[in-house]
Amino acid sequence: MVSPYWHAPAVYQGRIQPQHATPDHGDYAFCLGYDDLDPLPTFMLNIGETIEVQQDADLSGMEIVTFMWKMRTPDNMPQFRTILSAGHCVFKTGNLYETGDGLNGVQLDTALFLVSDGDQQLVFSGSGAPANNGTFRCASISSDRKKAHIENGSIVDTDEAAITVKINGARWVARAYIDTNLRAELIEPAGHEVQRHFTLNVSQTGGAGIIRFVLALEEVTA
Amino acid sequence: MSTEVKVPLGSLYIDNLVGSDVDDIILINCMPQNEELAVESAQAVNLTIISTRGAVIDSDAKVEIQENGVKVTAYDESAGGFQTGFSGTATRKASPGSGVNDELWLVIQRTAPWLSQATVYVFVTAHAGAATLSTNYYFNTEDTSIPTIVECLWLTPRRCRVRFSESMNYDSTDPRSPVFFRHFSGGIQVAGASTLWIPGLLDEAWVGLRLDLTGSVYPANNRSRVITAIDLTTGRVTLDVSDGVSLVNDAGIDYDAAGNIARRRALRCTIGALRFVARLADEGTGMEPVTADRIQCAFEPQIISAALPLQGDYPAEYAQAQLVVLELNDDISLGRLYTLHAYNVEDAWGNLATDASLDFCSPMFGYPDNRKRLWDFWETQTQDEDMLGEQQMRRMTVVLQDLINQLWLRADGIDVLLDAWRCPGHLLDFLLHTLGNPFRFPISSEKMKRKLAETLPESFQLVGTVTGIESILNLLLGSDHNFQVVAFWPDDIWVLGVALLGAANSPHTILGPSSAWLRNAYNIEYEGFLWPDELRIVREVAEWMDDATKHLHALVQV
Repeated sequence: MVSPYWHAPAVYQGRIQPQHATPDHGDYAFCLGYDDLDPLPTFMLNIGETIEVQQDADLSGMEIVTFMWKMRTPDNMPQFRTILSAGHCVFKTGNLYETGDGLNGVQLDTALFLVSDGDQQLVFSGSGAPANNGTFRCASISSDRKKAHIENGSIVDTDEAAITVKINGARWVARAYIDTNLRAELIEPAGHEVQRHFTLNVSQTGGAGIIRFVLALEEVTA
Repeated sequence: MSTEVKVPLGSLYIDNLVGSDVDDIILINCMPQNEELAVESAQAVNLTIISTRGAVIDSDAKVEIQENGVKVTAYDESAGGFQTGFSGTATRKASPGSGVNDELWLVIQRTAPWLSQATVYVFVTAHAGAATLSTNYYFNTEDTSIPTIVECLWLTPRRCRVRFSESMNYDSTDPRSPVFFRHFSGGIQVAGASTLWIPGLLDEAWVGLRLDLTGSVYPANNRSRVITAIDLTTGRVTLDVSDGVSLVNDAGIDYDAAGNIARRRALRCTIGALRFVARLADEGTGMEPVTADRIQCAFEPQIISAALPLQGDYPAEYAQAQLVVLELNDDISLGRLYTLHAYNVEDAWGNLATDASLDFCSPMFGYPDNRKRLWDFWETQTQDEDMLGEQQMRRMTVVLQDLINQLWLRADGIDVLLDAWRCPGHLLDFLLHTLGNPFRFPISSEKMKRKLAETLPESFQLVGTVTGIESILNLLLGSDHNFQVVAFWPDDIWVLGVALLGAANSPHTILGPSSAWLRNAYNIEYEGFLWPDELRIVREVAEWMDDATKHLHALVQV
C-alpha cells in the first residue's frame, strides 16, 4: 500500500532508527508520520484523517504500561488567522479573473491573502446571501493576492461591505487508546520537541486488550 | 464538499512498551513533565492521578504550584476545586475494566502566563482507599522577556560594540536578527513617490525593516525609511513616507542639456534592523529657546556591517551572542546626542522587540573638550544678534565645528599610530609589520594583535632566553597555562664524567650526552588544554625565540 502515511516504510516511517528522536530502549522506535528534517514533506490530506498502529497485548497481571512519545509539530503547519474583518468583498461566480472563465471565488480590495492560503479552508460570514456563508476550500490565490479561487459551486454573485474572512489552521494530535477507551492525549506546540513518558493504567483490564496509538489531523477554527 | 488541505506530515515517535507493577496510587502523564525546559508561558499543567487497585480517588486531591518560591494552591477538591487564579477541568474516569472512578484527570490552566525563566514546582497530594500520594516535580518556563539595548561601547568613531540584555538571534540570514544586513549597490531606481526598484533577490520578510538609501542627488531620497511592502514579481519596494517627504524619481543617471548621459551615479541602499538617529528634536527640552545648546548637528552614519565579536575580543562575563559589533561608513559626530534603534529584532528564544532603543551621547574619544570652539570666536554681540534672529550663523558654526572635531581627532591619531593599545584597529596589521612581527600564525582577535604589538619590542631583547619564551607565551595564550621552559634531560642517561656510571637498575645504557642535540634540547610544559592552532603558536614562538643552539624537544601537558 502506498499512501502519504506509508510511502517510505522502514526508512522514514514505521519501525526505524530515528534521526530526530532518541529511543529509550535500543536503537529503534516506531514513527507514525515522517522522520526527516524540517520542512517535513507536504501532502493533500483530509481534515479528520488518522493513522494508527495497534498492538494486541495480554495485560493480565500488569498494573501499568509505560512508553515514550516524542511528537514533532512541523513549523509550516497552516495557522488560523482572520484575513478580513467586516470588510468589502466581492463574490464572483464564473468570472473570477475574466468574464466567462468559469471560476468561482472572491475578490478583496487589498492584498490580504497569502500565496500559502491556497489549498486551505476559508471561512466566510456576514453575507446577506446565505449560500456565501460557510467553509469553502480555496484552490489558489492570485499573484496580486487579492483574489481567491474557491472550489464550491453554491456561492452567488454579491458585492458586500461587511464580510469576515478567516482561514482555518490544522494540527496533529496524538492519542493512546486501550481498545476504544481514550487513555492519553498529546498536542505539542510547534518547535517544542520533548521526549515524554506516558503511562496507561491497565490494572483492572485483567486480560487481553488492544493498545492503539493514533495520530489525527484536526482543524483549528479559533 | 472537499476538506482536503495541504499540510506537512507530523512525526510521532513511539518507543517500546513496558508493563510493570507500581504503588497503589501514582501520578502519571504529567505535561509539562519533570525537569522539562522552556515550557511555553501559556502551557496548562496536565496530570493524572490513578489507583492501581481499582479504588476510587478520594475527593480531597490537592495541587499546589510554587513559582520562583511563591507557593499557592491551584486545585483543592475539598475546597471547591480550582482556586483563584486558576481554571481548568477535573475529570473522573474509570480505567478499562474498573467500573469505578479510579482516575482523576486534571488540566490546570493558570490565568496569568508563567513568569519568564521561572522554576515551577508542582506538589500533588491525593488518597485512594488506604493509599496516599504525596509527590512533587518541577519544570522551567521559557524566556519571554523582550530584549533591550543596554550599552553602546564606542571603540573608534567608526566602530562600536552594542550589548543587548540577553543573547540574540545571530542567524545572519534571518531578518529578525540584529546581525542581518543586505547591501545593494547600483541598478537601484527611485520609481515613485514611495517606491523604488531594486534588482536582485528580495524577500517579503524584510517588510518592517529599515532601508537606508544613499547616492541620490535629491536630499529627500537619502534617508532611512521603513519598508511597508515588497513586490517580488516586479522588484518594487514600497517605503513609508508618512513623514510627508515623498521620494523624487531618480534613476542614478544625469543628463546634459542636449539630453545625452553626462554621468552615472550608483544609488546604494542597506536593509537592516539597526539605525543611528540624531536626537535633535528632543534635545534640550526645558532650555531657553535661544540657548546655543539647542542647536546641534549630528551626522547619521550608515551601518555597513554587523557581526558577533571575535573570541577573545569581549569580556568573559557576557555571552558572545549578547554583543554585536557595528562598522559604520563614516565617523559618528563627537559629543552629540543620538539614539540607537533596533527594529524588530528577536532574542535567542524568539521574543521580538519592535523597537529596542538606547539614548546616548557619542564620546569625545579623548578629544579635549576645551579645544578651540568656533562659536567663541564671534563677539558676544554678534552671537546674541544671531541667536535672537534666524540663528543661521550658529547652525553653520556647529556644522563646521563637527567637521573640525573629526579632523582634529584624525590628526591627533597620528601620534598614537605606534601605540599598541590606541592604534586604530584597521591599522594594527600595518603596525605589526612595522614592528617586524616575525610570526606567521593567524591572529584571531584584535586584542591578541594589540598584545603582540605591545610585547614585540621587549621580546626582541629577550630572544634566546627562557624568560622571553615564557613571557610571550603567557601573554599570547594566557597565564592560566603557566608555560615553563624546562631543559630536556632524560633521567636514565649516564653522564660521562659524573659519578653515575654503574647506577643500579638503570633500564637503559645510553652514554650521554652523546650529542649536542640532546644537551641543547628543551621541553615546554603547560597546564590545561591547548587547541591545535594554539600548539602551532607555541611551536612557532619557540622556533623563533630560542637560542640558535637550542631546539624544542616536546610540548608536555602537566
